[in-house]
Formats: sequence, C-alpha cells, structure tokens
Amino acid sequence: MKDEIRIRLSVGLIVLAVLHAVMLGSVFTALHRTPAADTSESWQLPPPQPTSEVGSRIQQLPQPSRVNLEAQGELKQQSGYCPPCPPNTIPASEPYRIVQPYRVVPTAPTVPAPIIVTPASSSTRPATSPEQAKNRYQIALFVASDAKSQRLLDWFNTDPNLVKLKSKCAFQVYTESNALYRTRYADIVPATQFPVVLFQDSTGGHVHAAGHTMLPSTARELFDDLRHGYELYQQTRQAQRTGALKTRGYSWDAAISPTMQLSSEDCPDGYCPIEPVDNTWRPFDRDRDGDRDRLFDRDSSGRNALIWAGAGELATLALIFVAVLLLGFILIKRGL
Amino acid sequence: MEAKLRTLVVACLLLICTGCLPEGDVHVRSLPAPPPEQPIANLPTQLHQRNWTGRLNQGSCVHASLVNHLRWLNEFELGERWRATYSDGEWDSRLRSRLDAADIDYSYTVKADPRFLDWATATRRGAILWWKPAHCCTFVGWVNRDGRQYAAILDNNYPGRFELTPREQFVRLWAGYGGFALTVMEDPASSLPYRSYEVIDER
Repeated sequence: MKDEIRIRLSVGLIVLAVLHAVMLGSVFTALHRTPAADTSESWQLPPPQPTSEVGSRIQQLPQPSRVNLEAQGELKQQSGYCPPCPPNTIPASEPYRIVQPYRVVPTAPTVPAPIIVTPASSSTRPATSPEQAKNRYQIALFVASDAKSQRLLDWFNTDPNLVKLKSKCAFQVYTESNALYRTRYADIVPATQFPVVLFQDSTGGHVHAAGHTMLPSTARELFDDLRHGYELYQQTRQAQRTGALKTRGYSWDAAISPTMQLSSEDCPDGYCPIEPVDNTWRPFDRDRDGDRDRLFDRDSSGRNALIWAGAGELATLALIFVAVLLLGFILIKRGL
Repeated sequence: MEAKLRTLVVACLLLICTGCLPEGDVHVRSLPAPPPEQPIANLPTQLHQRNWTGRLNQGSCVHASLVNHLRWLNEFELGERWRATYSDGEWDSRLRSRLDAADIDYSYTVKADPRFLDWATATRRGAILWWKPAHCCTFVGWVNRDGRQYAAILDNNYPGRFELTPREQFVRLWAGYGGFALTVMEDPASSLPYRSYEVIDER
C-alpha cells in the first residue's frame, strides 16, 4: 500500500485559493479598521443618558463616627483615688503619633449623667434576649472532684462526637468553688447534683439537662441523649413558628418561606449577628451555613438506628419476613 | 426433623420480635421564656473589680476593665494573673502587645464602629473600651429600655452598678474618647438556664 499523497493542481483549485486569500484579507481589513479622528471642533461629550438600575442599589453603611485619634493612643490611667489625676502622657512606643498632653478642663459638664442601674440579682433567672444572641447553643458542665465528674470531662475531651458538638457550642466548666457558679448558678444547679450536663440554647432555654444518677454510663449514650433532647427542642421551635407540632416528613422549606433581607458582616469569629445577604438562605441551611444552627448530623447513627420506620412499617416488614419464612418452610416440606 | 423445623421457626419468630418495639412519638410543648437578662454580660456585683492604683501612682482602669471582662468569660485564673502582673496606666497598642505576649486571642476596633459592640452583645462576650476622659470601662451590652437602646457600662471606679447611655450619644462620645474597644475571644459565661419545654405525652 502506498503512503504517498498526490496533489493534483488544477486551474480551478488555484482560482479558489486566490479567492480565499482575497476574502480573508478583506475580512481582516474590515475588522481592524480604525475610525478616523473626529476633527470637528463642535464635538462635545454626549449628554448623560439616564440608565435603568441593574440589580439592587448600593447602600452606604453608616459611617463610623469621627474618631479622636489623640485620645485613642493616650495613656488611660483614670483612677477613682487620685483626684486630680496627673496629666496624661504620650506613649513612648509610638513616636510617629503626636499627642498633645491631655488635661481635663473643669467646665460645665457637657455629657449628661448616665442612668445608673443596679444589676439585677440572678435569682430572677432571666433569659438572654433571643434577638441578640441567636443560633448559638451552650454546654455547661458542673463538676466536682469525684471519678464520675472526671469521666464526664474526659468524654468531652476524647469522644469524637462530643468533641465535635462541644466545638459548635459555647462551652464552660464550673466547679463548686468557681466564683461565677457561686454567684450565678448555685441556686439553680445545686452542688449535690454534680456532675451535671446542661445543654441550652442561646437564651438559656434547656435543651437537655442531666445530672448525677441521670447521667448515662457511656459517652455514646450521653451523645444520643443530647441529640434526643435537641430533637425535642426543635419540635417546640417549629411548633412555635408554624403552629403545628412536627410530624414525620415535615418540610421546613415547604412550611416557611423566609423573606428576610439580611446583610453580611465581617465578624471576627465567623459568627455574625446578622445573617447573610443572599435571600436564598434558610434557617438550618447547613450545607451553606456551616452547621451553624444544626448541631447534629442528619444521618441516623443513633442507638435505635437499625431500621428507621414507624410502627406500621415495622409490622409490615415483620409480616413480609414471616410470610417469606413460611413459604420457604412449606417449600422445604414439599421437598422442593 | 419436624420438631427441629418447628423449633427453628419459633426461634426465628422470637428473633424478629426482639427489638421491634417501635419508638413512641413524643409530643412536647414549649414553655414561656422569662424576660431577657439585661445587660447581656451580667457580671454579678460581687465579681466587679474595683480600679486600683499602681506603683506609678496611676489608675489601672484598663487592667481592671480587662479583669472584669475575663471574669465574665470564666477566665478567673487568667484574670488574677493579669491583675497580679499589670497595673498603672495603659494604652491601646501596649495592651495588645501584652495580650499577644500572653497568647490571648482577641478582636478590637479603633474606629468607634458600633457594629463591633453589636457583635460583642450578640456573642454575649461584652468588651472593654475607652470611655470617659482618659478612662477605660467594661461594656456589658446594649440594653433596651422604654423603646430605646442604651449602652450598659461597668465603670471600675464605681463597681456594683451599671451606667446606661443612649446609643447614639454613646457612639458619638466613644469616638471622642478614642473609639477603641477590645474583646477577648473566649466563650462567655453560660446563660441562666430555664425550662424551655415539657413533654406532653409519650405514646
């Protein structure tokens, strides 16, 4: 077999090639033609045409107040015991910043006296305002020095599920000698109940609480208890919002269409008081929201997770199994 | 042979019945929440740290404010160490250097941005800030009263009470005092617990 390629030149082919070259040249010339400079003296900028707005209007955030830079870097040394206080000095570590010595001029007070309030005692058991601290859960351990307390602490340091849960919550450990415990929680969580696990929402509402004898014997069981409490708590929240208790197959998205227009904030710890601006965001949108509100995975890894089915479904499955068994039994008996 | 099969069938039936008790539906009902805690960083009065005079005869308002802040974050040991180590006057950059040296994570603003205080309130941490001439106090959150929002301030020269200033006025004056605020990035004290729901019936 010959590998050679023979090209036969003909007049028609040459004409076609020339035509192709000419057309290519004319197309390139048309594409790269530069417009002639307008030498007319009367040419002016065209008047601005009103254009329709595309997208949402850019909103200006509130500007920060004008900051007194002189006061910013000065020595803060006011004391209630040295009237009159010595004049403030310029910190030596910042030579670039020229700060005049600050001296308080005794004039008529321009600042109205603040309202003085006495802190409310903790016995009233108020809750944190839900508007101010949403989507955050808290875990508090109240522990003593006994072995059970130590084991509880170990669980939250070693068990992967509890460690993961802890990382998503504000976590605190209190002992009986802790000053915050003595002044704030002693009436609510008596030391006789130690060790105690308190799982609560951002307002202080309990999600799950277990102490002393109610504590399970393994970390896995405790995690399941916390998950169970969370599910019950979620039911109450959904009931509050929709007026109905949660049932099987409840669809949050179908039931609620939030119309929140929210703006994003650059928050130091990744937790913003204001939700993202994207209006497709939904509460509990864990895929995009980083599990911020949904603490537990949706997979069914609980203790009763062999078959997730209702009572009727379980009965049906059992009947089918029995029927198959009996059928097999009959077939065996008949010698097949 | 037949007896063996019968036994096998009974055993299988028993096996099926084992663990087939379905979980009953638990119905729960939410309980009313008590009024919100105000201010949000409600450090008990017994734990309010009073300002003290250092070796240079200067007030230690910055350190006292930080100690109050750390106590609210349940960082008592750190607070006591700080109190024992530092005293006298302080300025913003040196405070941050000292926090860096102690390996304490923090966030701060020098622009008197009220959103920083919004965030400090939302996370229940509170903050320390430049407030009053040449002074530093502890911000314990925004407080709503009579339809207005006030800044609640714990002044270490007057422990045992909170001072409320209307928000707009507070932000304006805060800028005049330097506009600095700082929050240590630790979890705040737990909220006061209350029973949020009860089980109605378990079927």
